[in-house]
This record gives sequence, structure tokens and C-alpha cells, in this order.
Amino acid sequence: MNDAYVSAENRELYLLKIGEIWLKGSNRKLFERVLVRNIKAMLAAYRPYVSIQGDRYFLSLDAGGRDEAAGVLSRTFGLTGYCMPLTCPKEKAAIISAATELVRRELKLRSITTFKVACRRSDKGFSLSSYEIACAVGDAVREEFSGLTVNLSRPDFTISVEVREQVYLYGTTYPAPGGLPAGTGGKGLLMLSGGIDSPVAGYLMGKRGLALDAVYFHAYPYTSDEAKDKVASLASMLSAYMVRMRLIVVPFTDVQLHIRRHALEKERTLHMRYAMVRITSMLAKQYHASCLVTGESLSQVASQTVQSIAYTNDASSVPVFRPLIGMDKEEIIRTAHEIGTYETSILPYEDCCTLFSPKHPITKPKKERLISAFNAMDMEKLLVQAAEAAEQQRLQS
Amino acid sequence: MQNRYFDWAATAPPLAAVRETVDRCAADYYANPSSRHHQGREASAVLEESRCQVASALGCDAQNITFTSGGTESNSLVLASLFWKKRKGSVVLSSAEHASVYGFIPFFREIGCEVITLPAPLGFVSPDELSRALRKETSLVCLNAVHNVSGAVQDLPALVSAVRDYEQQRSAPRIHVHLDAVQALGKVPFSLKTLDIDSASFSAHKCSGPRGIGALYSRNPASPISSGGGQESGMRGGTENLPGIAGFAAALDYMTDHCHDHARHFEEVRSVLIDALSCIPGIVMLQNRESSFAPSILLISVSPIPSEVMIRLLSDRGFSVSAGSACSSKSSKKLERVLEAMGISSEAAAGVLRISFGHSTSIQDAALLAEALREEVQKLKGMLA
Repeated sequence: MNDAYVSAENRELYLLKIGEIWLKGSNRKLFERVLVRNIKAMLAAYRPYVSIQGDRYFLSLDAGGRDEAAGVLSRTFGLTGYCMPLTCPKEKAAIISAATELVRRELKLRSITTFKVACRRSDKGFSLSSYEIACAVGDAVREEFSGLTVNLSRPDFTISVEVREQVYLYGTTYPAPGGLPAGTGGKGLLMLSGGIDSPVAGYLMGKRGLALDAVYFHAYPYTSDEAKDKVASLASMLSAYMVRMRLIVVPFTDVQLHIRRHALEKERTLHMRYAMVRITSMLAKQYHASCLVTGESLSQVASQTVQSIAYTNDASSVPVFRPLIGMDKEEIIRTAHEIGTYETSILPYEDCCTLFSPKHPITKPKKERLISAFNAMDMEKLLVQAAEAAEQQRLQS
Repeated sequence: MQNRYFDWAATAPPLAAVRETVDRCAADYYANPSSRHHQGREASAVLEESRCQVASALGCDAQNITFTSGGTESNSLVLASLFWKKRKGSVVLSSAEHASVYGFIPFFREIGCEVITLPAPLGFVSPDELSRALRKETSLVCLNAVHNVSGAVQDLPALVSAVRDYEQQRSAPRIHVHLDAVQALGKVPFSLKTLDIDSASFSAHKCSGPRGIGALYSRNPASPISSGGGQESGMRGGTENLPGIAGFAAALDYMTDHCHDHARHFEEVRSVLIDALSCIPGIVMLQNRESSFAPSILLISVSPIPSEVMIRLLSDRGFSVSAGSACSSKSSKKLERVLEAMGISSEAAAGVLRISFGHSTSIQDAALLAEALREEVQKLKGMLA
């Protein structure tokens, strides 16, 4: 940043744009408080300070954290975007100088041929009107950069000028995911496999403000440690959106073997799903979670038909959220690409051994019959043991 | 926990003498062999001496040896050179070829070649099938000397004769016969002397040499992909990996000197394993007794226990075995393709284990592996019953 526009303390300034929080009424302060706390937690190394001025949030950080701040802000639920404004005193010459600097910087990054100036003046005492500021800046920019012309309807670049206690000028707004701040929607447990879907489900619920811990069922030696490491990588990726997230690994081998020995082959997968939901539901209490999240999408596989979900849903004593239920695979894959989990999800480490997968799984189970079949397997003790043996795994940041 | 290594077909542990040679060469002959000063000439002398050693061990002239980074590069140099030929013709190869050869099929088709794949039960190519596949326009035949998964030892004299007889009978132009001999070195007696072939690939780490070094034998120079600084007679530009080359030569020297002792030792280890494994219920020996297999490679199936589960269980007990080709282990589809081409049922293929050993594998370790397999198979069968 040009020295003229860096504050005396050598800090860097960000203007944050909020989304849905704006619609909140009397409880808006609560959402704001959590959003600010999340941002501060993620950028603690740069001594963050956030001030809220009406609908504008200003974040200042110690200089040097620009790359990290860009990463954090682009993943912060509750923000729709952010920009890096220049500031200057409330003087016409200073505004023009800052605006031309802004354009110069943009031209270093990309080619632009048209621009417009958008001015907001909260300080009505300032001698120039918004229109006069826009005209003065527009004229100066055209004079300085001969290739640039004004286009008010579809400009390549918009110079935003806001006159407050000082003047803020900014150009590009970088996108953030929107939604609600992580943790404002309560707490859930995400059933995380190594596939494409469950990380996306976790992301979507996190975006609605749900804090999450992830639960993974590990069946060594029938599934590999590489599969577990893959899930840990996915949990780390999600954790970057969630501020804080733990991975809980449940040893599942004994349960899986018991089901293989005692259940009808065609019902094995459903009983395993049922057992997983039961164990996760037990863990919910221990981890202070009030719901479960799964990556189920209607009819994607045999265990995700209406009838199958009706059965496995019965295993939970808390609500089960399925944010992907109405999405098709293409949409899910697109989101997985956007959040960066896709390439890890497709690594070739299976999360279920072929020994436990029936050739022809049942697709329309009768709920009552399956429940009594599950109960007849007499595995409550095994399920409790699995929940008690669950371990938290440290996530790589 | 003591490690017991049974994956020699993937990489054979380097010999102490090889490691010493590599270290000494790196310390003493670091100069560029292309440099004209005294030290460069010394390095060049080591390079040419190593080439002579390698050529002598392989049974060919030094001028026909090009050093490469290994088997895959050697295969690629030959197969890619088809691109420059005016007469593209047709290509014949077995359906169970290693990925470094089989992966060229789309390329061959792209440049207009007809590709004929031969059946390869248990990895073997039949001379009769090969004869039937030859055409007047056949320009290239790719064979392997020892199959990398099953250890099948091809009847090379008969296969090469099938090609040369065809040429003679039909007055056809010479067909380029390329041999992937990567798995042959250190496992079975091998010499280029009596083989009328046009090119062959070798890799040092399969015969207790260093990794990252191999050789290409070529009767006539192949068209290089890049000539770079003109090294290796313009066949493969780039400064030579002299420590690797010297290590390769040392490994081949050792193998040549000890090949008879090793062959005896392989048979002893093999019979211990076969005697113990063949009477374990749940283990199927996939190599039949009538055919010729490299004595240091055993292929079994523990199906319905998946290969990867058994590999993990054995690994936890210190035994390293593999599911087939190490080059395919990251892509189960590639391995499935090879096993299917070998005529192994999909049920048996799901539980395939390749047990490969070497000159330093002890009889005791072989017995311990067989015992561990017996215990694990029984335990799992009980759990899954």
C-alpha cells in the first residue's frame, strides 16, 4: 500500500459487507458479536480490531497479513464480501489523489477500459455533494488515464467513495460465502465420510450458522488409515469455515462384523447406517450437539430412498438435517469444487470395504420389520462401547 | 517389530555393494562427463566402463545401451518413436501388458495404428496367437520377458521366431520387436545374445540396483524425444546420472556372478511357501504347476478377503506384500484390467496377493510369512463366517 494511505500505526484496513444479518431485528447485535468474535479468532495473530459504523464493518489488522486475511474473509460465514479501501482526509485533492491511486493499482492487476464513480456521503457537512465528488473524481481519472472512459451502466471498474469521519475509497469487492456467522445456529454433529457429499452438507449447514463437530466411523483393517487421514483432511478444510471443529473417530469394526454375521445380506448397509446414526445420536449429548447432519440426497443410493431414510431416521433422538436432499449430484460436485473438497474426496481410499456391501441392497425396506431385525441383533452394548471408545483427532490447520 | 520384505518385484532392496558404489561415485566423480577437463574425462571413463559392464551382463554391445531413468522411460522412448515413422502399420501387444506399455494404446490409435491385443492367460503369450495376429503392415510387437504380476516367463525364443518366420514367409519388412525385460533381471537367466529383437527395457531397482536408473537396448537408434546436449549418442539428452549408472553396473555384476546360487535359493524359498500355503483352506494358488514362472514370484488369492485388508493385516505384523503391480496399486482399475486379461476370475482377483522375494530372503522368514497368512486367513474367516 502506498505509504500515504497507511495509517500511522502501519495497519491494514478492510471494509466488510454483511448479508443476512442486515435483515435481523432486535437480535442483530447477537449475530454481529459472533461474527466479530469469529473474525478475531481466525486473525488473532494480526491484532484485529473491528468497528461497526451503521451497515459498514471496518476491520484493521497489523500489516503483513493480507494473504491470510483474504483467505479467512473469503471463508467467513455472515460476510458477503470484503474490500481493501484507501483512506484519506476530507479534502478534494486528497480524494482525487487516492482515486487515481486506486485505478493505478487495479490496472496493474487487470485490463479495464470503462469505469464509474459511486459516491455516498454520510457526513452531510462536507462541502461537496456526492454528485460533485463523483464529477471531480471522474474528470481527474479520465485525465490521468487516457484510455479510460465512463460507463455508468456496465463499467469494468467502480470507484466507490464514502465520506464519513474520513473518506474511504475502494474498488473490487471480493466475494465471501454469505449466510450466518458460524455458531449462531446452535451445534450439530456432521456424519463425515470420505465421499463428495458429506463435506458439502457440512458446509451448507455451517453456512446457516450451525457449529459442527464431525464424526467418522473407522473400521480398520477393513478400511485403511489412508481413508481416515483423508477424512481428517476434509474435516480440516471444513474447519477453515467453521472457526473451530473437532473430528471424532468412532471404532466401528466390531459393530460392522456383528451386523455382517447377523443381518440379512441385502439389509446390511441399512443396519450399518442405522447403527451409525444411533452412535452419533449418543455422541450428540456428550458433545453438546442438538442435531445431526448427513450428506444424504434422495434416491442417490439404495440407503437414501424415502423408505430407507425413514428407517435410519428412526435411530436418532435429535433432528437429522439433510441439506443435500433435493440436490442432484452435479450441483453437489459443483459446490465441492467451490469449497475445495472435491479433489480430496475423490482420492481412491474407500470408506466401506466390499466385504460389507451387499450385491443387491434393499431399496424399499419396511421400517417396522427392520427395526425389529436390528433389535433382534442385540447390539446395544456394542453401540455404547463404540460411542465410549470414540476419540477426538487433532486436525491439521 | 522386524520388517520382512516380500515385495521384491516392486523394488528389490539395494545391495550394500551398490550403495557403496553410488556413494563413492557421487563423492569422487561429480564432474560432468561431457566436460573436457581432467575430472570430466575421468567421469566419462566411469560412464563408459559402466556401460561396458551393463552391456556385458545383458549380452550386447556397449554402443547399443542407452541409460534412462528406468523401465517406463525406456518403453516410452521406443513406443513414442513410432510417431516419427512414415509407415505406422499395426501394433501387436498382450492384453496384460504393464501400464507403461498398455497406456500407449490411445496414442497408437491417435496416430492411425491398428492395435491388436493378444490374450494372455496368467500373463503368458502364445507364439501361435502371436503368429495369427501378425499382418503385412505390422510394424511393432511388444512383449514382456517376465510378467510383472504373475511372474510368467515367456517363451521368448519361440515368440521371436514366430515374428521372424512370418517376415520370411511373407517377405514382409522387418518388424520391430520390443521387449519389456524389467522383471527378468535378477529373477531368471537372461541374455540378449540369442534373442533377435530390436529393443529392450531394463530397470536397476528391480535387481537390487539404485532406483531412478535404467537402460534401453536398441539395435538401431530410436528417434529421441529430446536430444538436449547430445548425451547418450543423442538418444537421451541431459547430464548422466553417473552414481546411478555405476550402481546399476555394480548390481548387474553381482547378479551375474551369483545367478546360479540365487536360482537355487529361490527354489528353496518357493517350495517352503508353496508347501505351507497350498494346504491352507482359503488360499488359492493361482500359478499352475505346468507353466514356467519366475521362481521368486508367487501369486495367490485369499478371496473373499480383499487384498488390501490382508496387506494391512500382514503389514501390521511386519510383512510387506503387494496386491499385484506396485505401478497399478494407486489405480485399482489398472490392476483389475491386468487380472481380467490374465483370465483370473473377478472373485479371485479381489483377493490377489503377489509374494515376491529375493536372494536375501531367509527360509525362516518365508515360513513365518506362511504362518502369518494361515493365522490371518483363519481369523478372518472365523470373523466373517
